[in-house]
Amino acid sequence: MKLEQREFERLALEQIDLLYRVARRLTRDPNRAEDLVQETYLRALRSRDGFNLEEFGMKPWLLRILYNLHVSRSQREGRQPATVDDLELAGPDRRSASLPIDGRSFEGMDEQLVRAIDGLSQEYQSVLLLWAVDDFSYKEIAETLDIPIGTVMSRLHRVRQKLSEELHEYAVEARIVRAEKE
Amino acid sequence: MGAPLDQFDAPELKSAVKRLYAAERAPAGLRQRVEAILRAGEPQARPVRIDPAVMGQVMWQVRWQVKWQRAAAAIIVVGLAGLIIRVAYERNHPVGGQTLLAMVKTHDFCCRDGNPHQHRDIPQASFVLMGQTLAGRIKEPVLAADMGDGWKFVGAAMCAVNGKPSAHLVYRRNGQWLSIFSIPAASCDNVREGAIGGEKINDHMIAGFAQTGGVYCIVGSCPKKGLQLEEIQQLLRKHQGDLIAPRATSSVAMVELLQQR
Repeated sequence: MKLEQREFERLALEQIDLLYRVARRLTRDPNRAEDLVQETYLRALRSRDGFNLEEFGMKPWLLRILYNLHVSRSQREGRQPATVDDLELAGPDRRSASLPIDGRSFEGMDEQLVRAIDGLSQEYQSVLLLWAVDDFSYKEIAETLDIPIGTVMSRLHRVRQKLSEELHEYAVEARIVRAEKE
Repeated sequence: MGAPLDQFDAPELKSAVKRLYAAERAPAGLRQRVEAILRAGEPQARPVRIDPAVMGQVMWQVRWQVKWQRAAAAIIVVGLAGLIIRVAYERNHPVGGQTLLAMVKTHDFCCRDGNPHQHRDIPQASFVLMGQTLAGRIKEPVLAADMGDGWKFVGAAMCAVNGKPSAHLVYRRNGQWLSIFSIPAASCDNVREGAIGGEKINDHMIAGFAQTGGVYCIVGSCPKKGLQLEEIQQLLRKHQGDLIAPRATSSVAMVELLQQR
C-alpha cells in the first residue's frame, strides 16, 4: 500500500521518540543521536517512493535505515561497531561505575539500574530497549538489527543475568537485602 | 522441544526498563527540524489551465475575490501588528522582576568553582530519574536534559529562589555557567504564560517560559561576556519539550528482579 504524503509524514513522525532513544544508545552522545535521527528521516524521504507500508511497516523500516546509517557512519569514521561476543557485555563507557551511589533506597536502585544499563555495550542496550520499551518481538528485533533470532534471545538472557547481578551487589551494599552466606 | 518463546520471561525487568526509559523523548528542536524535512517533501500544486469560455465569469469572481482579499489582508495586518506588539512586550516578561533577580542570586551562589551542587538524595546519573525525583519535590514537571552544545552537567539540587523551593540544574562550559530553574508558578510574581521571553540582568542572560503551573528558566553567565541572550533563548527553545513529570510508582519491580537470581 502506497501512502499519501501527509499520511507518510504523520506515521513517520510518530516514531521520532523511538528513533531518538535507539540513536542515543547507539551513539552514546545526544548531538550525534540528533544528527543520526535527522539523517534517517532525510533518507526515508528519499526512499519514500519505494516504501510499502504493508510489506515493511513504518517502525521497522525507519529503524533499519537508522541502524544501517549508524553502521556505515561508524565504518566511515573508522569506528567499526564492535561485533559483540556474547561473553563481553560491558560497553566502553564505564564512567557510571565511578560515580558515588546516592540514596540507600529503592529510588537508588532505579538509579543503579540506569547505570548498569548505561554500562552495557550498545548492541545489548539496543536489544534490551527495543524489547522492553517498544515491545518488539524477537523476530522484529532480529530483522531490525540484522542478527539471528537466537542471538536476540541469548543477549536478553545475558542482559538479565548481568543486571540482576549488579543490582544484587548494590542491594547488599545498601543493606536492602542480606548478603548470601558462603 | 516446544516452539520458541516470543516473550522473554522477565516481565519485572521489562516493566522497570520501560518505566525508566519510556519517558525519554526526542528534543523539541529535533522534532521541529524533522517536521520541516518531511514537509519539504510535500508535492507542489499543479498549474491550472483555465478554459477561455468561462474566463469572463472567472474574471468577475476574481474581481470580487480581490476586494475580499484586500479587506482580509487589512484585517490580518492590523491583527499581526497587535500580535507583534504583544509578543514584543511579553518577550521581556516571562516572569516578574523579583523572581528574575532571585534566580540570578541563586545562580551566582551555586555556580562557583569547587561546588559540586549534587544533592545526595537526587539521582545524578540519569536525567529522567533526576527529573522525576525533582518533579516529585516541587509537584510540577521539571526541565531536565543533556544540554549538548558543549555544556557539561555539574549537578542537580533543590535550591531556594526567593525563599521558595525550586529544582536547580547546573552546567558548565569553558568558564561559562548555566542554570536551569523549574519553579512552581505559585512561587513566582507576575507569571505570564506564552512564548519564550528573554532578559539581561547584570551580565546574566535569562530565557524563560511559563506553562501550566510551572515556570522554566535558563540563566547563563560568563565573566568574559562571551554568552549571548539569543543563544540562551535558542537553547531553551531546543529543550522546551524536555519537561519530566513526577514518577507515579515506586520500584516494586526492582525487588522482583532481585528475587529472580
